[in-house]
Amino acid sequence: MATRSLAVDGGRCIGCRVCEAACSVGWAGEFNPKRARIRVPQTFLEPRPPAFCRHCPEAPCIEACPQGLYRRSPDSGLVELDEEACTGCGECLESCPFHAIFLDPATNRAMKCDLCSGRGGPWCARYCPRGALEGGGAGPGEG
Amino acid sequence: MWVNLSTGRSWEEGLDPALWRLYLGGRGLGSYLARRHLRPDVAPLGERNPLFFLTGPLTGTVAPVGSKFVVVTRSPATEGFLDSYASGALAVELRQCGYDGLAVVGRAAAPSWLEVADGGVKLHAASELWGLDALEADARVRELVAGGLGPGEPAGCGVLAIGPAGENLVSFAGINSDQGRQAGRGGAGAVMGAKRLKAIAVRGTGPVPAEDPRGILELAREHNLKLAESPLGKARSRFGTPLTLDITNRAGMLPTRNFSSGVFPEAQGELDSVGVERRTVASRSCFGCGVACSKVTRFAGSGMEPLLAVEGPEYETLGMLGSNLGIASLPFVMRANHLCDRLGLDTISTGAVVGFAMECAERGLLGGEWAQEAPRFGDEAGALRLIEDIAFRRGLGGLLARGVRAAAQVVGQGSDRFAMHSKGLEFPAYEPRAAFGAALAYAVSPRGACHRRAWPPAREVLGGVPPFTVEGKAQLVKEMYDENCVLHSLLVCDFPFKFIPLTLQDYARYVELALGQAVTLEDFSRLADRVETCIRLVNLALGLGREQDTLPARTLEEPLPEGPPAGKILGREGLDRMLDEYYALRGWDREGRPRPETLQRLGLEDEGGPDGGDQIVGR
Repeated sequence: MATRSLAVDGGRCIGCRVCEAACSVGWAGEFNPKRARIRVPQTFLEPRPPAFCRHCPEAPCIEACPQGLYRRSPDSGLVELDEEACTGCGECLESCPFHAIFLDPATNRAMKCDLCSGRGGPWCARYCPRGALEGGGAGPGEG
Repeated sequence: MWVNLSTGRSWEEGLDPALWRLYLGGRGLGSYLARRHLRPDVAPLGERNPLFFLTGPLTGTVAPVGSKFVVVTRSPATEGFLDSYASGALAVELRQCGYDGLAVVGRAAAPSWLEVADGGVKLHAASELWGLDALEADARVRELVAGGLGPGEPAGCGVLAIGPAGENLVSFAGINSDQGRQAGRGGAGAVMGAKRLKAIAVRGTGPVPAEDPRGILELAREHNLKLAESPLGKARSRFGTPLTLDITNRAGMLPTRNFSSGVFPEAQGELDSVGVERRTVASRSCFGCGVACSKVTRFAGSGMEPLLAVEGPEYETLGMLGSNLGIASLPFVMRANHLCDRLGLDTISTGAVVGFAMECAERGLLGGEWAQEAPRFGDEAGALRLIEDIAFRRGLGGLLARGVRAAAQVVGQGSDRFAMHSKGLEFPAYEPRAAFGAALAYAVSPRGACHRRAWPPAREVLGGVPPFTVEGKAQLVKEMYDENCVLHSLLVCDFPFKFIPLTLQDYARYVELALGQAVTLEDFSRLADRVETCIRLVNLALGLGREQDTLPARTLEEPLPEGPPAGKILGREGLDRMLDEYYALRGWDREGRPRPETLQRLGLEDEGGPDGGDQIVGR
């Protein structure tokens, strides 16, 4: 099964959170790290690389959602979430081993990385100042 | 958002939208608010002293680098205007709450902490927090914030905390931000402690206001690509501020043994870029920054010494708690840094007062128990003990907690000659006798001796301008002050500007992308003039004038013994000449009071100051 989640080079990551800013602009047109689908963990010493959906081969979120809103796309192999139908129950948040599903504070729905499908490729990877992120196709505006 | 700790009330105050063009934000906005709210009858530790936490128009965007907030208040150390800066999530989160700033007035009846969120503020009892060190307090507050946020949770909560030093009103107590950073200078931590405010937590979920976020992303990307190719930028990214020590030591500018020399050979390979890199395990960034100048260092001690990790040490700490104390051990500086972080003490002022105490001890100026408590230069254990005594006001520490100016007044015997401060704020780690422009920069700095308003060594040491003359220095210092005033009113970190490098034209572009309105270099230039003169008015009203724009006798009269500046003397006359020229360039009279035509030109004459009248406005 072909899945191609983002990949991060932890050695390059400096914890700057530009990825969060870029993601929220890509998705919601605003600077709002709380609406980002890639999130850097809080640290006070060495930074830790961000969390994002890995599109796991055996994704626990698919089982966890009581409404069955997660499914694996037969075309892309990515785990997709029907965000519109989400009621914000939060069951999936706990199920994710990468802590990569978040509640959008503006909509109260679950949200996760979809590799910027339909938006030209991962915004986070394009804007990361250190080139620590890779994945998906070309950046926004390039394809 | 305003909060009155005495009454528990909070309310929102809208700011005139026209203000941004005149003051931008940050330092500029701080000068405007100070003119209205810092009054001569408001004691720094009194309940009416306001504590402003301000942001700027680029804060929370990814313009390089909108990671900072500024604390504006009346300083317990100088009794004058204080602007104290730090990076922290608080800056971003305040804007996400929809606020440009937070104003705290009054005094809580009992130890409290403040929680700020989208809907407003909540005041909590801090009985279990009071007495904790600043790092523990931060960690505990994150647990208490709705939802509980510890390490590993996504970043997104800004926490400020004071340690025992702030609780005990030490005049150089700082405010910690997200544990590892500090709004260190001038005693803002004591103001917070006097209000019985232990901590502030801010968490917002709204958007950071910006007209063209994608435009800002694209421009910042362009600048980050430029950074990756820039030799200056790469050096700053690799070494951080410790690289500065290599420069100052070679220039005879590194404070050594209480500024009695500017050269410390033992620092080489230990406290400099080489020494720090040896112990560096990671780099980390402030919000939105590609430079990652901050270094995390680790030291695995042997025997009784535990594993030690610290964000830092930065150049100032290496200088003031290392060479200034005659100590060449990086593990010691790391330990002292960590101790100051826990206690909530400004590392710069702490190094200056401990260095002063060491010199007093060497000269036999201390009597009784103080003579026994005071370490000599090089005494690591003694220094650590004294730092802790300062935070808890024990013994000699109790005297030093009042700052080096007050300490010298008590010790007497001519010790004021080497009490290294201006206006009551202790010297940072640049020896002004090694670059005379730096002497002017320290003397005219509104918050006291400060290296952040202008850094003349960039031209006098690194740029070919003769360091040991006074000619042209006033013009140089004014240009640097004005440039930094714009950057600090935008409230951006000046490292990207200096090391990519960028231009003010670049920042005009960012402002346009953020606010949707054009701003010109002329606007910036007028803003700097306006803000610096506005702050001057504030200080004059608070009792600080030309007499306070001065430096200790050691700086003015004693030649350095070694290094490039050896034998050079600035002299009172040298400083006076630079002051005269600087005041003239600012449109102030010979006493440093803004002339009426200057106030008119800058639009400052009719704004409601606390104290109008002839004593402030020049002739």
